Amino acid sequence: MPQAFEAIFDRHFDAVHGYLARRAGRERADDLASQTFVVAFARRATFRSDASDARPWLLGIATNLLSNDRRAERRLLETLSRVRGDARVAVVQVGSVGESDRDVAAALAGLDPAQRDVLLLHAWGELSYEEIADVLGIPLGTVRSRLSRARASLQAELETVDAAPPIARTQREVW
Amino acid sequence: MIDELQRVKEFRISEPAPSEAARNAARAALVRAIAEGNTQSRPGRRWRVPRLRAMAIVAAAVATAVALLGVFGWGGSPAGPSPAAAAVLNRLARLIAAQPLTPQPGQYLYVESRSDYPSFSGSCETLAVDHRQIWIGTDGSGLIRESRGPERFSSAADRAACLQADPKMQLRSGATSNDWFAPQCLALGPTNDWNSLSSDPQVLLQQMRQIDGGPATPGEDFVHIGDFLRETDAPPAVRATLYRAAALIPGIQLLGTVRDHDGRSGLGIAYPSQGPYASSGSSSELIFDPQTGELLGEQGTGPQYWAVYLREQVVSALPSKPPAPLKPPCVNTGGTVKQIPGGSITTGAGLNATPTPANP
Repeated sequence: MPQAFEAIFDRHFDAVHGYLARRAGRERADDLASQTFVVAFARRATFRSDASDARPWLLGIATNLLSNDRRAERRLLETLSRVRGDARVAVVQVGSVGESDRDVAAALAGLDPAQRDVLLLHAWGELSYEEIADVLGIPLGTVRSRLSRARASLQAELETVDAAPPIARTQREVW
Repeated sequence: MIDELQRVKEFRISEPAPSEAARNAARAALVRAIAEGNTQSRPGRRWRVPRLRAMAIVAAAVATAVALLGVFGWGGSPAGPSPAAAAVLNRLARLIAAQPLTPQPGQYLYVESRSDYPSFSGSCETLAVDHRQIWIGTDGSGLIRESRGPERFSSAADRAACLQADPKMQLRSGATSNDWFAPQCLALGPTNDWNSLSSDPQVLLQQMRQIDGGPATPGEDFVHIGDFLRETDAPPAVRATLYRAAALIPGIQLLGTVRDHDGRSGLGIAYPSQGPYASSGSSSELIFDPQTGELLGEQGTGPQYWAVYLREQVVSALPSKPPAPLKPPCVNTGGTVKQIPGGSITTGAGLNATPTPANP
């Protein structure tokens, strides 16, 4: 393995895997994180910097790969938002789940996928607006607009949940 | 205001590190790929849909949406469009259709703006005034020249929240940049395939939902109108159809004569309770020049933001020569740009870098 790419892999594999695992679950992340580095190597000509700056580029590739198959992410969010229904099964699948996690999962599930990509690259990947625009290949204005809309939807959804009586919450979680 | 983003940040934050087995398998796969020298390898499906195919997908989806519209009617929104707002928008549509904003080959559409949008972090908000000059060529090449003012806190509360989260936090100083784009690489709106858009305003509303994504609501339709108009090279005829489409959105309001951030008067059209914080009684406004029909500015509350569009005109040349030959294909540079004196150069994160259709 060329030394530079080995450094990129060593430095960023955990971060890329962690981002994907939060979005699509560990099993899917094992596969997608591996694909991310294979694609990154194939596209290394498009990256002209040192390894310390590779993280946004890699997260962009990971996000694009994830967008090819949204089912894993959707299943994970479904499971998390329904965890009250069969807690034992859910805990085995996704680990322990707090009440806040259930609500956030339901709110994230309700977002448009393109908005979710921008939101999570920002919130979890800690990418700047400019970096998101670059790695997703979308205009900066679109990043702003998608992020604002995602936050508005989340806030409205979470406020609804917080204000809802228990019976309404149960119904809402049948997703 | 900050709570929802913080909750997302904390969501599944304790996801454990990958297993050694997963790391080793990934490393082995990478070693294999390198050994095979297969730089063309793409796992799974292509993640860059060819543009024509993408447009065909959008067209098919729109055809379906339009067919459903015929069956089920218009979305069941209780409030109809505002007749006063619709009348003004239809008049503005006639004005904009006649504006000389269509560059010929070799010419550029020049758009100059200043804006002040909040930037969110996990704990607080900051602002920075952004002066942008854009030259958009008919071949999709061009230049974005940007001068960003120093970052500042949105409020004293934001300052306190920022510093509490990170006592060493430093505001960014101003910066300037020149980003050059090779032909077919400059993408400023949700699409630049303007010919694919319908001249029927009701069909256009559906197309925008397909292309720009988001929930299928009137408020979101108003957002789409802004997205397609703002700093784009949408031809005058398309702009006219966008105005006529806006006239169909239930819930829009005519504000009458308003002033933009620079104090220029224009006709304001607003959609209330649809902004970055929908539940806070916010609103977003588009302001139009009553003489030319051009988009003059935007502003909104909750949080506060503004943009003024200072000039939009056809020009015959770029302000300077590109520092290096710019050739397609567009390359997504992944956030890294080659530094040149006074700015940066990139071949653009353009059409081919997007897993189109824009919102799968």
